[in-house]
Amino acid sequence: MKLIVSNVSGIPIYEQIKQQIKSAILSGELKEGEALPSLRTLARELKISVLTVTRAYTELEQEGFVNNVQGRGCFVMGKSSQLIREQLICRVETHLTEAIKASRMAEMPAEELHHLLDILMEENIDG
Amino acid sequence: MNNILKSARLDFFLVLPYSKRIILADIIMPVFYTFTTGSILSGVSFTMCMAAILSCYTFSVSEKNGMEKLYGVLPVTKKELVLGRYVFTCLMGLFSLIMAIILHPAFLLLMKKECRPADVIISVIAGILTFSLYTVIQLPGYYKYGALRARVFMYVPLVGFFAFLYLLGSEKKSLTVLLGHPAVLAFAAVLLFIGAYAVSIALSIKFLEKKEL
Amino acid sequence: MDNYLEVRHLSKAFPEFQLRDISFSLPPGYIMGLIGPNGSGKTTTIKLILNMLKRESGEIFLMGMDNLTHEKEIKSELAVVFDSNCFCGDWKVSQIENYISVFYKNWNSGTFSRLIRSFQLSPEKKVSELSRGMQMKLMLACAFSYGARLLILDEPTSGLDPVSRDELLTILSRYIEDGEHSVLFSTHITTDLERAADYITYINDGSLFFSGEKNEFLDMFRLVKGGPGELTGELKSRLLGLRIYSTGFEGLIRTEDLKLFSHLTAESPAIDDIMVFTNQKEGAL
Repeated sequence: MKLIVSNVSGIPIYEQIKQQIKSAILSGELKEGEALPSLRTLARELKISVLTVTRAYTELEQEGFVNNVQGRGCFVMGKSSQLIREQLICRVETHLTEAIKASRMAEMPAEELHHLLDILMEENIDG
Repeated sequence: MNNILKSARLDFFLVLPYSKRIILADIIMPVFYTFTTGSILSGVSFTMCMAAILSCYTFSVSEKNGMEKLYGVLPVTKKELVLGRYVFTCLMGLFSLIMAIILHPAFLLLMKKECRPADVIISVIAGILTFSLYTVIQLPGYYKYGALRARVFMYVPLVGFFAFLYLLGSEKKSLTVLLGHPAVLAFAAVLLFIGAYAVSIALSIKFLEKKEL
Repeated sequence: MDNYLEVRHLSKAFPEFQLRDISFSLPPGYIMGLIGPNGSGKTTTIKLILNMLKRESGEIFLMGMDNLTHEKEIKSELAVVFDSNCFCGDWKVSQIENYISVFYKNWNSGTFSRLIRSFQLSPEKKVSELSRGMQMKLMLACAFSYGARLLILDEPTSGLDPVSRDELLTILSRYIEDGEHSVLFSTHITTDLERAADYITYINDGSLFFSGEKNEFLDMFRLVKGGPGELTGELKSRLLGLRIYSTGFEGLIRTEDLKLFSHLTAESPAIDDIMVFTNQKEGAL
């Protein structure tokens, strides 16, 4: 599983870890029941503090993606994929609503908006 | 092995790199002194005097190497460190004494000079007395002021030795009386040994515990 | 599990310096950085923990034991690495084990030889012939060979080249990896802490400025920057430190005060920034 951190990205490190784990769950790289990397080993390998990784794992657990079993590790929860998909769909809704508002302000007709969506989706097919 | 002996052992390894120098000064040199004076008493006294001067080695080596940090970390109390050092110092004295009473009479006999058993016994007692007298004063001095700053303490035995020689030369009468009664000498030695060392050790412990590192 | 190190209201006065009311604790399995400018009291604090100096007030507990009444038991589980060599310079690396191991019941010869090998310390070399980095590794090899649960280091990385520093931090990470060991290290090279430390205790001029999670410490402050005209009296009163230059200024502000000045550029500070700004001489503001 790919997990790298950047000190200069501006995104807090624990947030970077969370995002990458969520991506791995969505893509199927991390399957249900699979264990996350050992907390302390990960901290050592990424050269970050133990508490930073702890925060990432704890928040993932609070949000329902993983389950922390004392003494055994963090395991991916069953409905994680679903949860993440739901979170992302929520994001799509929010951004689309914003786009619609902006198009209304620009007095863009509905067909143009649909057309723009198709073009952008084609351009972003690899993204 | 309890911590006192472990500390003494550590002191031994501290001075081990300097053993050649120590043996030269402490064992070899005095033999020549005995040879020139023909007196085993002076020779043995000189040996013990040397041994007392060399008692500063444990202090100066550990100070030069900044070893108080090591002593601060090891699981030993300051009391045990002090007692260990006294044990080592006395063992060094004992070693010097034994070497002296083996080598000096042998040398004298080799040189066809006189060497009476009574002289040897008196030398041993005088040796123990002088060594105790010096170290009992020196060690607390080193603990309080450090060997590097308190060089003066190193020369206490030298002063004592010359005083002893002077006494030997002048007040011959009272000294010969004293030396003629080995039992008195022995008794005095034992008293000094126990009493003075007790006070000296207590002082050293107090000085070390007060020392801020 | 109780804290491995607990310091409560520690104080000591010197002729020219006073350590006042220092309290902090270190739980098992974490690294704490002890920071502060030179002369702020870091080494004094460590010496007080080791009872090399006598404290005037306060309490110190290591592994749950009072550091005065249980000195020997504590020191069997405590390892210390100083900023300079503590062994006799004439001793050879191969002899150190013989001299030191007798003091420790739990000494593991196998661990010691393995570490000497992996640290690449040649056994025949005298301690005085080793470089500073090697001397430190030798002290660490000893420290790890008797199963010490708490490791205290005083300025371990000063004088080390970047490669050695990186090695040391990796060694410390491995040391705490099982959750049963902790590290306290004092340093003024804060970039080391950015990476490795879980907790920070910041002592400034003898007083405790902060003790807690490093991430929290960094989150407490922001660096604000603006143009010359934007430095209002209101802003000045809220700043903990300020630097003015010809085209603008930058200052350190508590995060909670930031909302009043949301028009200014703000960024997260590094530990260095916090230390520099909070340590400015009187009159800079």
